Amino acid sequence: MSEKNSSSVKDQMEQLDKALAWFDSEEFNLEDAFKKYEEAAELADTLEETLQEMKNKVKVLSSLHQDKA
Amino acid sequence: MENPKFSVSQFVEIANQTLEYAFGSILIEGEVSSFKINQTKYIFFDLKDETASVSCFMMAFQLRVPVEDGMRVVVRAVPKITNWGKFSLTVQSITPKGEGSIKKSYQILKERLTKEGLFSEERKRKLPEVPSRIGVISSVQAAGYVDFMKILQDRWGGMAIEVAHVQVQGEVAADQIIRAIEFFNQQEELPEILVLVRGGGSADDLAVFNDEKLVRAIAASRIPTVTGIGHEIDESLADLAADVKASTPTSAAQLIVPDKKYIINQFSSELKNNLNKIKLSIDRAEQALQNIDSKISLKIEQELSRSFDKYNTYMRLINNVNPNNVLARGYAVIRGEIERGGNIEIETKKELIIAEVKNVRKK
Repeated sequence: MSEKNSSSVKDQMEQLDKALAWFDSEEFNLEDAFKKYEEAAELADTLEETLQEMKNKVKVLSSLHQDKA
Repeated sequence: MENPKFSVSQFVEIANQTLEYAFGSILIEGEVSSFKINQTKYIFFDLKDETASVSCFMMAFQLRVPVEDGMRVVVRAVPKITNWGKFSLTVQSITPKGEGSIKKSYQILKERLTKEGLFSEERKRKLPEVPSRIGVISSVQAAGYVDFMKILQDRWGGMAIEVAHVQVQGEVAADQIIRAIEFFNQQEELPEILVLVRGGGSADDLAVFNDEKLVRAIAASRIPTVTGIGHEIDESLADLAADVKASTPTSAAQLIVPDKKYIINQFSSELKNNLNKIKLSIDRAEQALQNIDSKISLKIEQELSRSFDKYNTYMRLINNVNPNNVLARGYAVIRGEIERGGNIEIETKKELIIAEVKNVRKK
């Protein structure tokens, strides 16, 4: 589950990076700019939601040692 | 009642039983002298203070840190009388005591392990940018662990974190930590990072992280290791053997995971920049349109002006050849038969004259 979250976050970050890179590329044009901006903003919102919702699963291993100090 | 009578062997046996009953395993602090290793297997030395000295024996594999004459140490030992009647301590563990001895031991081992290449930069592995599984080795009761986990939880989520609870100081600490490293390294699905953390402490407290076996276990780990031990100024051999050394447990957490707040802010800032870029482009486009508009207006004006000029020129030409204008300049138009005896009509600006042709001559 955690790995799924992690790869999902990685994917989302990559998608967002790609979307933002368009604005600095030669393909930038005013006609498509607003649509591209909205897409990027939506990706950013989704990413923020994912990051805020992700929780760590912590497991303390109790019986690793036989001896008691 | 008669005093009991023993054979020599019986006496030695009873004496040892009495010692075991009275002392068991005992801790003794003193200074090392006459330290020697026989056949690379057997270690002999004397442990002394200002007024007394006792012989010590141990096996070489039990020596976890370098020891030499003059060092102050604490031994855990069992007192014993040998079959040859010699009193000695059978040493189970030996630990340098006090900053001076600990430092000396540290330097000797550091030099040795450096020569072996255990700390070389080429061995250091990169950490994954966004780990999904990590193993943590620490004491869950220690402040260092609490700090580490708090920062980790604040910065990032979605990870599976397994924590091996161990002693992080004292006699059993080194072996427990080694066992934890081995446990994680034997898992079917290895964690992506192994983190060893403990908070600040005295040189004695942190001495476990200079244990040779522990240092070698860290160097041999298949999983990239991160240490966050003590304070900024502390550097143990475990730190040198790890792939990444963090100065404290807190900075270990900062090193191994990104900060989600920072990421969100970064993307937010980039979006804002791109919005400004769009606005700028719109401004430029508007400006360009205005420029075009001005150019067109100017062009039209220029064309109109040129056209008017042409019109005026044509009008002047037309006026020049207008018969009325020619007549006004004093010329006359003659109509009719231009032959002797013929009748002609002469038109001037103001008159129409009817005349008869008297003679016609070529010029």
